[in-house]
Amino acid sequence: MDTLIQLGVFVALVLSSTAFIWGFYRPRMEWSAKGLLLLAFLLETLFLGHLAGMVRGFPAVTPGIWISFFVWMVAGAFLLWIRRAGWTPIGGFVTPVLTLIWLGGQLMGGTIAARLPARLTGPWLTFHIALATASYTAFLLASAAALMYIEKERELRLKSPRVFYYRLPSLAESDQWSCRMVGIGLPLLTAAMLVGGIWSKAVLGHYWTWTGKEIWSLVTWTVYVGYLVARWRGWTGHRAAWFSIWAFVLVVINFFGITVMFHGVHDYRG
Amino acid sequence: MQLAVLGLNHESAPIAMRERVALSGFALEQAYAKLAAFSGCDGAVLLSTCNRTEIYWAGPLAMPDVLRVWSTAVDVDPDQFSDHLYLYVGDRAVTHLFRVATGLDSLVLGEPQILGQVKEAYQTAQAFDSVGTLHRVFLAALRVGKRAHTETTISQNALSMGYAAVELSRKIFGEDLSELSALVVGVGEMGSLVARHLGSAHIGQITVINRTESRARQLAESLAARVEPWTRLSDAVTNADLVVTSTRASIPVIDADMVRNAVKSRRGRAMIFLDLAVPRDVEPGVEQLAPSVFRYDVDDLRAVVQHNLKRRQREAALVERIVEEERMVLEKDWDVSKAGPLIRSLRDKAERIRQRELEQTWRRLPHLTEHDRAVVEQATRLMLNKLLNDPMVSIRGWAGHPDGAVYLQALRDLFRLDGESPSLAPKE
Repeated sequence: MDTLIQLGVFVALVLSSTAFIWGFYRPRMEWSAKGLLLLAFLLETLFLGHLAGMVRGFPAVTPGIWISFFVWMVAGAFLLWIRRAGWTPIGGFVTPVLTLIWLGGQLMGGTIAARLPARLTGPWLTFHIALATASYTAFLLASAAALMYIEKERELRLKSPRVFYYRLPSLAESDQWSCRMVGIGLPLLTAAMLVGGIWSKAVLGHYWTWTGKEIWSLVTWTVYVGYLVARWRGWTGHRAAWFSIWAFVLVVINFFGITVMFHGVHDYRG
Repeated sequence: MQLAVLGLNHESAPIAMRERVALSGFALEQAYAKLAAFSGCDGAVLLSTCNRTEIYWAGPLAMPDVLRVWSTAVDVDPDQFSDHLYLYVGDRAVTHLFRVATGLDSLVLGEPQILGQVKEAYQTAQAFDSVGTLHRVFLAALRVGKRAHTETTISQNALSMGYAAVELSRKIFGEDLSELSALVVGVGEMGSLVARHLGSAHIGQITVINRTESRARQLAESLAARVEPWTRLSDAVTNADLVVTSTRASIPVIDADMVRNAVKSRRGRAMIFLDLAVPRDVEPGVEQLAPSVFRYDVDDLRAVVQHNLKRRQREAALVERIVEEERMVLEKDWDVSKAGPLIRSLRDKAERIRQRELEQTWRRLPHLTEHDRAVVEQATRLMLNKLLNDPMVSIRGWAGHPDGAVYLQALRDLFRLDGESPSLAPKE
C-alpha cells in the first residue's frame, strides 16, 4: 500500500507542477494546481501516518522518509502561504523543485527497516528533526521568493514584459518575503542545533561531535546569520536575492552531499 | 424575444455627430416619454455615453418609429445621421449588448467604466418605468460584464503611457506607493501628465525641479508638490525613488556620474528613471551601473503599452467565449419561458373541454349520485393528465433545442392554441 500511496504522491506532484507552470499563462489552472498539491499533501499525510503507526513513533528518521516529511511540510506551509492573494504563481517555482527533491529522496532509499538504535530515539530526536525540517522549509520558500525576484527583475530590465512581468508579485514584496522567511528559518535552525546538542549530550555524552553533518550545519547557520547581518547593513534586492538562492543551495548540499559522503550519528543508513 | 438596438458609436460616427445626437437630460426624458407612448414597445433602455448612443427596445415597434423618436428628441433630421447608424436585431442585438458591457466594443479595449454606464442606463430606464421585458437581458449583460472582469484580465494592464508609468512603479515598489518620493525634472507635457498620474496614485511625495523655477511652481501647485532649485538636482536624484524627466535640454541633464553617486548612497534601494524627453534627459546606459537602476524612455514605455494591448487582445478571445456562452444561456431561458405559456394554454384548453363535456354529461344523466359524479370527474381528470403528460415533457425538452421554436409553433398550430389564451400574445 505504501508504494501505491507514494506513486499517488508522485503523480500529484508532477501534475501540480505542470498545472502551476501552465497557470502562469492560464490563471484558471491555478485552482487545479492547488487542488493537486493539496492531494499530494494529504497522501503524504496518509503515508507518514501509516508509517508512524507501524513503528509506533516518529517515522522520519531515515533520509528517504525524512524527504517525504520535508515535502509534506513544504506543501502544507506553501498552501498556507499562498492564501495571500497574488502569490499563487510562486507555485511554478516551488512545486517543480519539490518534485525533484522528492525524487532525490526516492533514490536515496531508506526504508523503515533502517531503524535507529533504540537508545537514540525519543521525543528530543523528534523535536530536533521537526525543527530542522521547519527551518529548511523556510529557507526553501525564501529562495523561491528570491528566484521570483531575479526573474521579475530580469524582465523589467529587458523592458520586454513577458509572463513573469504580469504574473509575479512586485520586486519589493518578493524581497521582503525572502528576508522574512530567512528571519523565520534561522531561529528554527538555531533551536534545532541546540536541541540536537542537548539530546546528544544526554544519549552520547557530548554536545558536539564535529561530524560532517554538524560542520555543514554550522556553515549553513553562519551563512544565514551573514545574510541577516548583510540585510541589516542595508543589502536589498538583487544581491540579497542571490545570497538567499546560494544559501539554499548550501542547504541542499548539506542534506544530500553530507548524508551520502560522511558517516557518524547522522549517517542514517543504520 | 424581439430585441433590437439602433445606435452609433466611436467607430461609426465622428465626435461632432455623436455630440449632436447624444441623448441626455431633456432629450433623454423626451425619448423615454415618446417610446412609452407606442403600444408596440414592450420595453426600452437608452444608453448614452461619450463614445456611443444606443436605443434598445423590445416588441414589434418598427425601426423608423424609433429613429423618429430619436431625431425629434435631439432635434436633428434623421437623414443627417442615419448613415452613421447600425441596427442589430434578435441574437445579434443580445451579442452586441454583451460586447458593449464587457468593453469589447469600447475605444479602449476592455475598459471597465462602460459596465457602470450600462448599469446606470438600466437604472435610469427603471426610473422611467420603461425597462419592461428588457429586465432579463440587461441583468444578463451586467452579469457578463462582471464575469469578464473577474474571470479574465481584459481590464488589467495599462493602455496609456501615464498609467503604464504608475503600473511600472508598482511592479517594482509594490502596490502601496505612499512611502515613495518622486522627482519631476522639467515641466514638459508628458512629464506633467505622468506626474499627475503619480499624484492620483497617492505617491508619498513629489518634488519638482525646473531650470525656470516659476514654471516649476505652476506645476507643483497643481500637484501639491515641493519645488527645489535646479542646483540641487544631484541631491534630489539621490533622494528620489522615481525620477520623471521631460526637459527640452539637448544633452542629458542626468548623467552617469550623478546616478553612480545616487547608487552608492542608496545601497541597493531600487530607483526608476522614466525619461519622457526627446532628446533623452537621462544618459542611456545608466541602468548598467547597478541592478537596482531601471531606466525607461518613451519608446520603452510605448513597448510596454503595446505588450499590454496584445495581452488584452488575447484575453478578448476569452471574453468573446463568455459572451457567447451567456447568450446561449439567455436564449435557453427565453425558450423555457416561451414553453411555459404554451403548456399553460394547452392545459387550459383541455380543461375547458373537459368542464364543458362534464356539464353536458350531468344534464344527460341527472340520476347520478354525488359519489358517481366524483368518480366520473376523477376518471376524466386522470385521462387528461396521462394524455398530456408526455407532450409536457417533450415541450420542456424542446426549449433550447435548435429547432425548438419550429416544434413549438407546430404544436400551437396542431392544437390551434393561438388566440385561445391571452398568455400567448406575442409579448414574450
